[in-house]
Amino acid sequence: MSGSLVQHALLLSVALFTLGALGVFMRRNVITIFMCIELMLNAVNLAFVAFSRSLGTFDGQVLVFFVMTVAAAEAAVGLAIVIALHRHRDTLDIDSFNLLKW
Amino acid sequence: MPPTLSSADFLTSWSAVLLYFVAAVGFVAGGLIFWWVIRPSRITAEKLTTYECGEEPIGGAWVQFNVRFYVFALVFLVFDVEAVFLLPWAVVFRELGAIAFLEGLFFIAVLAIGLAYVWRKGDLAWVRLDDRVSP
Amino acid sequence: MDALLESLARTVPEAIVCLGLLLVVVLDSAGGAARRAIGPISVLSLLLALVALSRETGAPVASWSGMIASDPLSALLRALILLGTLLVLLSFDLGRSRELKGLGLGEFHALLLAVAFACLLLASANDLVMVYLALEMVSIPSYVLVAYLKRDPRSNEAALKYLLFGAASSGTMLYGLSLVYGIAGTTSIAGVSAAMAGSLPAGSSFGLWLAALLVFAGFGFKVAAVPFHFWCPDAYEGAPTPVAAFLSVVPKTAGFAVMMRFCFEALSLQRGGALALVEIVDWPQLLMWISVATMTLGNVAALTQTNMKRLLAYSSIAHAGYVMMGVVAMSEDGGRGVLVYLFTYVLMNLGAFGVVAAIHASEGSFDLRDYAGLHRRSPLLALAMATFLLSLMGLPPFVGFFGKLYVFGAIIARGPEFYWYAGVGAVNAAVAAFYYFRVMRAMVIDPETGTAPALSLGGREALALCALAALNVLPTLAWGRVDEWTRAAMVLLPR
Repeated sequence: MSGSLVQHALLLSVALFTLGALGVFMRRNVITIFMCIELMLNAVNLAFVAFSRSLGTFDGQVLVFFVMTVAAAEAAVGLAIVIALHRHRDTLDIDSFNLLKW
Repeated sequence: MPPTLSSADFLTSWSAVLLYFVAAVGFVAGGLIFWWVIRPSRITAEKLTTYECGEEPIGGAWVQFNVRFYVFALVFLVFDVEAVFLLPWAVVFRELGAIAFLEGLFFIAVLAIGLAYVWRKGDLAWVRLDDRVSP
Repeated sequence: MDALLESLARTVPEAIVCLGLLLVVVLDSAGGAARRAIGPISVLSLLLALVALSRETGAPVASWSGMIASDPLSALLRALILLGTLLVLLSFDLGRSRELKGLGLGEFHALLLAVAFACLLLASANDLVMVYLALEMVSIPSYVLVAYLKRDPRSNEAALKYLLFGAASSGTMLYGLSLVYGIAGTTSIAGVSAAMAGSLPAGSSFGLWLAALLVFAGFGFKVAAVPFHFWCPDAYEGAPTPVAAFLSVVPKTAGFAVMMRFCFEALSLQRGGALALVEIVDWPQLLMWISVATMTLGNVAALTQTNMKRLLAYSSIAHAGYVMMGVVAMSEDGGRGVLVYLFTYVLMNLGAFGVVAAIHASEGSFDLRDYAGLHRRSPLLALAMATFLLSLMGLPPFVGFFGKLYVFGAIIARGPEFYWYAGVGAVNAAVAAFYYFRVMRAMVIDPETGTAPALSLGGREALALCALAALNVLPTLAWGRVDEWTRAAMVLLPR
């Protein structure tokens, strides 16, 4: 079997997911946070494809299609909200959005 | 089952790609470095300006883009990505027959309703009515 | 072709809501007089869906190639979702709302129906693919609904925070689902359950623990459980009040529906009509700590709030903690507790938000200080609010009492090692009484500043609030009936 290849893919996906999650917490620019979330989702895609290959079923690869389209829809809504916010404030720094106390 | 490869097979089968990659990078980098070494360096103000097909550049490159660009991009993004579902649909179309046709029709109808909505709300026009009123 | 018709026949309510949604979008695009039909069409499609649901036979079947499960449990939960959406549309007078003034209502109805449609799918999701898709279909229109007041920076900001939390937590959940898929080798929930019953590959225990933790992040976000609750107070405060009311009941019901299905079907073994734990992952332990943190933090944070929407947001976080007790109990009684709690919660929380919206429509304020002297300015509103608050507190003649009774009973039945958990819940209910009474004190006892005039109340609002208040008391008289419904829905079938 392709054991070691799948293991490598999973390790890479864990690394990507961790990087993405860290970025979501540590970055301050909204667009960068979006990109980190995309990184998390792509890590998930990699994990699904790797599992799909090792299991020999296609369910995981089908899910990847859905994840990609949903991510696009989410990004579209997210960017629309960012545009609306940018009209009120000339910044994209997450710390400056403080009308509502955390 | 998908064809399986061991790690070593994997590397051998992709070695040509690696070689090609190294050659491509080497060709570009080698050319740049070679000319950088032999060319004379006489800088004038005119030579440092941005090359815009022979025209004199006007203003900076960092201008504010019209927000309509983003709206178009968002609409395009959604419709573009949804089209990915039509590829697997087309692959199995013959096997599934009438069901696939009906389901595909419904899928496209929903997208068409979305497009009609965007059009009727004026978001396909470059200048939207209520954007002219409020800055 | 037969398979398609067969599947459609199993999901008539979903189909009706979906067609209603498309029709609303078409009518809104058509513009002019057609727009006046949007409200009635939305209500009509929800009513028709309820009728279609009541005609469904109880036998459990999977449709849409195993994606959707139609069984008595999902039928009751879908009825709750439809009821909640219907009550939101009927009890809020959108035309009178100060917040929604000048904004079209076509998109509002369309988005509300879209969320309701996705909630229906989530409540009967029978496959991890469907769980993810339905969850995102609930989330994305919800973000837009929160941002509905597009000229209000607070609404935009709330939506941005909601979206960032939502996207991050759904990504996290997806990683958990990928682990479940990797370990079980299938995405169907029944398949996962079968894999749990068999022998799992070595090292699955750690993987499953991690998977449970990551998946609960996604469910926890949907039901606003600590530590995935940060979006909740901000989203409720920034969103239009009807949206906040809707988000606090309908997606929460769907979130608990999917949590219950995942915990009871995928992560448990059904042996002879009872649930048994999959040995290698003790998820009730995990969920119990989340629940304790949720109810405690929700109640403590609610104590100091002066904005009514934020207060109700923290109270809804705390209630999610109580509902989770029913899932932790991992028994038929526990599941019944979840169902009863969600049913009563729809009635009492929508009522409370209805009063808040009515006061904002005439006063323009969400501040608790402006509630002073409400009993004189509008006795009807004060009385209705008192009913909803007493119900939220869980006092006996009101329906809220039954929710607490069932979940606490189910936990205590689990044995002495869970007594402390029930104790924490009881202390929390006592703490919660403080801030609910604070609102009542403001309405009845607090001195008024100046002589505020009597509140004007629209006829529709008055009627809706009276009906909701009555619904908080009347089911008590025929409780045997409600008990029977939940009993029929929570039958564990031996496989």
